Amino acid sequence: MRLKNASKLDLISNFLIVLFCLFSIFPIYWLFIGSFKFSTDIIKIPPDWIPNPWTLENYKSVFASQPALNWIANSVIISFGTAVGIVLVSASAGFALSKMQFRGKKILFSFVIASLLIPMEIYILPLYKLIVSIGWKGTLWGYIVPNLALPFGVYLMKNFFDTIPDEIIEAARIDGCGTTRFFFQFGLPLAKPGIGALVIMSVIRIWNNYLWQLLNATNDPKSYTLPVGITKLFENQVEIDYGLKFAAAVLTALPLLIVFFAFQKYFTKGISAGAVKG
Amino acid sequence: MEVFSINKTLKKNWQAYLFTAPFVVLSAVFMVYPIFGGFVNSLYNSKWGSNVFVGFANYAKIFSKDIYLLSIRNSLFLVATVVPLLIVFGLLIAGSIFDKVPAYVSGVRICLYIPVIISMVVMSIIWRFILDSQTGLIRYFTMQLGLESVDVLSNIKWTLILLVFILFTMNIGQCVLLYVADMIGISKELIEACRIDGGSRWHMFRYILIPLTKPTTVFVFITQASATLKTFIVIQLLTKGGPNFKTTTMMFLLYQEAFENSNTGVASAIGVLMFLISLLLVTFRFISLRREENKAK
Repeated sequence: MRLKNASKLDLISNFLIVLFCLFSIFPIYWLFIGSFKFSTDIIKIPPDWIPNPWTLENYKSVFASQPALNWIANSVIISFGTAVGIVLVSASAGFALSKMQFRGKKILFSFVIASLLIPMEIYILPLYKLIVSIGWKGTLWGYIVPNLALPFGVYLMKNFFDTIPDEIIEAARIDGCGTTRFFFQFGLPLAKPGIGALVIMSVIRIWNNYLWQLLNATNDPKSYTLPVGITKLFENQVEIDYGLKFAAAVLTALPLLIVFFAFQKYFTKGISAGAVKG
Repeated sequence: MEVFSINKTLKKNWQAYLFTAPFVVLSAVFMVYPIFGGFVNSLYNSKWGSNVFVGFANYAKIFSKDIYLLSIRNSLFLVATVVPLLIVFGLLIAGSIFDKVPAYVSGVRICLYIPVIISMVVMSIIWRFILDSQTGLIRYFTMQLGLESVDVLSNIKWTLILLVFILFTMNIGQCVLLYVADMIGISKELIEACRIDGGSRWHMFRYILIPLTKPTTVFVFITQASATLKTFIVIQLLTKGGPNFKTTTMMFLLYQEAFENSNTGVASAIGVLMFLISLLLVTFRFISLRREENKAK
């Protein structure tokens, strides 16, 4: 089963896969080292494959010339705020769909499955008008609330609660524990792995949710999030300070890479939980 | 009588309704209502501040003007190329790595998954820079090969193909992750039996891996088709829909019409068309779910 008794074809295909892997992370390597080069060195030909000399100038100027701290704060608050909200909304709905009997349950579950495939982008214009008309544009409400009902989250949490045997609830009921109390006292703690997966996936989703943030931001650069901030840098300008732009892009990418490496286990679990069970 | 029975249902189910209320209310207000609103808007012409009912004129315009038709064609072209590529290479890559040492498997998975987690905005910015005909690495490579410098981002023929490739590299990690998770779950005896019978890797693909991962394939097809249909960021940051609208997608045009030309009637109509395409995917999803259920029985 190991590499040594693999067939020739297998060796060739794995060799190509390794090449493709290198190719696929090369742009990210190029971005990271670019952010440590002086802007004039970034566009040099032939290129420096390693910064020569290294510099932190770009990072200093991002914070000095742009409200980058505001962007970071906005992205962090919006991502975590939305993720917490998504978990509460999804866990309670998922719990009801998995463990409670009620009229309309089938319809609601069909709605969840159907809406999984209706991306926000499709109805973004009427949604935008709605947010403007209730005066939420540019506010945290505007950034967060439209993203709270996440069908994928409900689906994921339902699948997790499905793995908890009904007998536990029955036993708790006999001991006088109502369904609501059961949810808070036992349901949520038992669903911890699912909640972990959902938090991480939501944070990533919202952190990268460019289009909605672009529309919800006002003209004040302080209201931008990181992705909006970078795209607005040197927009419609001929002279682009690539160093500065790269540094801002690294600030956007790095936190997610850290989250990814720290919580890798949850990823596979969460993503395949969404897929395998149909 | 009617009221009485509603009361009774409420009484019996109030706890469950309380639990589902946040999701139901939020999706009603921020999803269902805008979808209906979009349909209503698509029947009006609201350019220049006035709001005139025009029936299906916006749709007629979409199906008679080249720009709109081209955007529909481009979006469908992207779905029809990117999604099959993702499935074929997802299967090939996962099928070649899944039975190797775990460290190697997770190494490949990480390398391919990083472009998936990193914001499309960041990935687009870096690709834009690498492919820039003046300052990008591509200039260096074309010089090395002794070629003329080419502007790959505004080539009538090839830019759309290039976008297929870029979208592919941004999403393949997701598919490999799903297929590997699925293939690792396949019983070892089955794979060993295939090997003992002298089956090559091709046989393993043909008779074990491809048939047993079919539910994943359906899932990848549906989710990636839905994701590719809304391609926007890459277009906005790499080509702006050019050259000559050759890379304009439905979503890009929707954005342009809605927020730059304030032509909300047509923008809404494009949104409704995209919604209808998504409904096709939803239908397909329900059919495949029912089939799996029947098989399980």
